[in-house]
Amino acid sequence: MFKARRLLFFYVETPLHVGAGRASANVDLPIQRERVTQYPMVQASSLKGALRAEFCQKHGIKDNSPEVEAVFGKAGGTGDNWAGAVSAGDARILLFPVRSLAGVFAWVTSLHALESFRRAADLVGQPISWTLPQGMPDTNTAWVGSKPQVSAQGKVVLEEFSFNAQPKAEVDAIAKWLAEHALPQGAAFQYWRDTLPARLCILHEDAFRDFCLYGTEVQTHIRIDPDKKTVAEGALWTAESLPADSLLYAPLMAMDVRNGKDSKNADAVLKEFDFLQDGHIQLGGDETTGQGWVAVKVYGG
Amino acid sequence: MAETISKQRLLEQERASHAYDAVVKAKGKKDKELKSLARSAPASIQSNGLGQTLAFWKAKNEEHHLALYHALSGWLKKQLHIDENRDLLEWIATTADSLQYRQATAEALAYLNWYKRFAEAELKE
Repeated sequence: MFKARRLLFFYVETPLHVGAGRASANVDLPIQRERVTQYPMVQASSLKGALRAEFCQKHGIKDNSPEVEAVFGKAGGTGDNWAGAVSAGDARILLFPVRSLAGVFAWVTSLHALESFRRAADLVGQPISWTLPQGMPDTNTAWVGSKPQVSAQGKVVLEEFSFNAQPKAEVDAIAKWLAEHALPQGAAFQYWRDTLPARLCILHEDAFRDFCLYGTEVQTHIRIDPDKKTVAEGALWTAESLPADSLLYAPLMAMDVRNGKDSKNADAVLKEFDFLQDGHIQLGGDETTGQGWVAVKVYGG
Repeated sequence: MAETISKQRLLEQERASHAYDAVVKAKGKKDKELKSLARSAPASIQSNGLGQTLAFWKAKNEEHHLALYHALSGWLKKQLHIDENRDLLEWIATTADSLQYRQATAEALAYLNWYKRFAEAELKE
């Protein structure tokens, strides 16, 4: 069992493309998704690799230095390898931004996404205080807060789909909790924390799934033939990314260091990641075109 | 359980077979244009919406646009139990509720995945 546990929240600042290779899908380069729910996700290995790179950069040390290998593990022959002391889980979706006729955009989620989050929080020893409204929103209904910015004349129009707005007191409480604990706390995020209650919509699970599937950003790319200044033969492709303003979460857990030399315990290992609080990391591809910036919030511990 | 799986399998097969027939039927006219249109169709639906994409094809009114329009609308009308004599775009604009429209979008993307593959395989550059 892991001895020290926390949650990490990732607020997507610029479109996030954590790729799943080439696939026979709507886009040429799709993003990683959960097999069963089809929600967007960031695989733990992608996340751990990014944390490792960030850790090296922060301390100005090489990837194969003893400090890094103590925390993240060392590959190699029998007798000369050990598992890392830190364990990152998959990053899963909690809030997904969708174009809205009123209020520019809405943050959508579902009972399933919220309850999955509750279980993840429970797993890392951080029980969640809020409760969900009774029942379930029907397929054409959006549960909103008491002062929704995203509804007009009782309707919430997301992309081209219209939902009946139904105010629920619990939505306010959930939004308030998320603003306090999940969104980055810097002054730059003040506006976003303030408007979360007015923008949060809890949708029917199928509707939420559909937005996660069809509401992602699709960017078309080309490669120019440098001599002709026209598109090179066959060099047109589409890439999918998770839109900016999505919110993901992942567990971060630790054991005592297992390299047989250092005596750093689990708590000290997790403390090494305090530098992430309210900072940024880069996840996924296209770093040199400004993609994949996420703001990090550490919760618990 | 076994029955559900075989039903699902059947649905994918039906999509594939409908798309294959449609591609073969359209073959020999504007192959290059149709191939490129089929390639970009799913991304276009995802960025612009099903209704907008269909309206764009219809407005273009060229052979390859209409070939894809008729293939897709033929399949969707069959799957969503829409009267064969109605125009799909008219159904989207006047009749479809939010849920039906979402289902039509999902079905269109599933169908176009097959259409795109067959167009890539069957049509000449």
